[in-house]
Amino acid sequence: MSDNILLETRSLTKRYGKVTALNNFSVALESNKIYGLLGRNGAGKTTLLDIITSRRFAGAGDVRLFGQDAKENQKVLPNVCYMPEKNYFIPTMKVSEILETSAMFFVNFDMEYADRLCARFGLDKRKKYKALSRGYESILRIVVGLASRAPLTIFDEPVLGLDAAVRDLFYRELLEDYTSHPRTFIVSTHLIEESADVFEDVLIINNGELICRHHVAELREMAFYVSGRPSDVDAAVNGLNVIHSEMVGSVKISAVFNKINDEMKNRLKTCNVDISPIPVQKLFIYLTNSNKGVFQ
Amino acid sequence: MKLDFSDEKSIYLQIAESIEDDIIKGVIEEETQVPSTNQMAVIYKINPATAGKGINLLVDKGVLYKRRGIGMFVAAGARKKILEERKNSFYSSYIVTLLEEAKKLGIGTDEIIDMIRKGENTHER
Repeated sequence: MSDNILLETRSLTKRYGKVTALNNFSVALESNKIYGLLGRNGAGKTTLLDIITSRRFAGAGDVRLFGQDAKENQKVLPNVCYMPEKNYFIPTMKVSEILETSAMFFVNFDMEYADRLCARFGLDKRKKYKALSRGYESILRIVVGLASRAPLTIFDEPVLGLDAAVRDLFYRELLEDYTSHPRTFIVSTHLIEESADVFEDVLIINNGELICRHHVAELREMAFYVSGRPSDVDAAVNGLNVIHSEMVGSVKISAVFNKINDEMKNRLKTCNVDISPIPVQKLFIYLTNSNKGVFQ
Repeated sequence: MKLDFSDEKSIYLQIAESIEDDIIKGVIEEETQVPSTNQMAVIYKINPATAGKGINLLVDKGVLYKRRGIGMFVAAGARKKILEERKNSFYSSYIVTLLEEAKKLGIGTDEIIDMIRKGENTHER
């Protein structure tokens, strides 16, 4: 497993004045997987991605990419394509020029594929970057990110300003190209529900720390509501990790986030309660509202 | 009492089930090819690892098999196998819940049988 590690951050810490953006952040990501990076505004996502790609430097800790120290490493960085949320391209350049420049920088860049993507997303290559709408800015980042075919491709909020149909197209293109050219993707997003199943693993950052890392299927299986009479619910969730509770009239609803084995399932069956799934978006809100009692 | 651990959670189970449904209905015939894991991933907009889990489930059950270098095919006898399995789970997933709900509402067995007959007549194909 360890030779399959593509990216490793070790005890990254970054402070901006009194604010700690990343706190002792360690994570190891494997090759050829699509990772979802989730976190609320200001959770530390962009800081983390910036440090991985040497756009910013950590106060402490280091980043290893492809088994090497990544900091300003010119052997490593051309294999990483980072499409940040904003201010990446030169405003006066045309789309076609941006694609040509990208092709010079990224060894695996596929111009034919970039052209196909432009056509599919309706991006006019003759337009200047500054003339693009918010949505088309995002589309250009998607085109460059996918066509670069970099072993590590990072999208920060790739679907910002895109309507549902275009977002759908992006997820399909991502999966299609990923299946024909396997590589590692890190995708940060706020739109969790619609993208969750595209990811293999989900990482949740809160207050600069990794609070949760799971396979998506596992995440869904671990999260469920227990509802019923308060005393029944309390008995049912006894000993489980409860991340949220509320009363609706006389009914108590508790959200549980816990690995469940058959024995626990059978025990829950004997309690007089209802069990129902928690949508991923809701789970995310519960987990990031307070990180007490969350296990890794 | 309602226990629903898996409804929207296990996408891979839904995929396996929808392939099985197509086999039962004859949409996919035995010894014909089914979409690959990668094609499924794009069609359903899910991670290939998840799609692969669904396919592997059907391979383990003997519903699908792999022809090396070509792809996944529906096994001979798959339809019969799925039908048998579905019939076995019909009792536990429909009859048991039906009786539970009926008990809650105070509907007697004779009344249920009458309802089934009535339903049969109005639903006749």
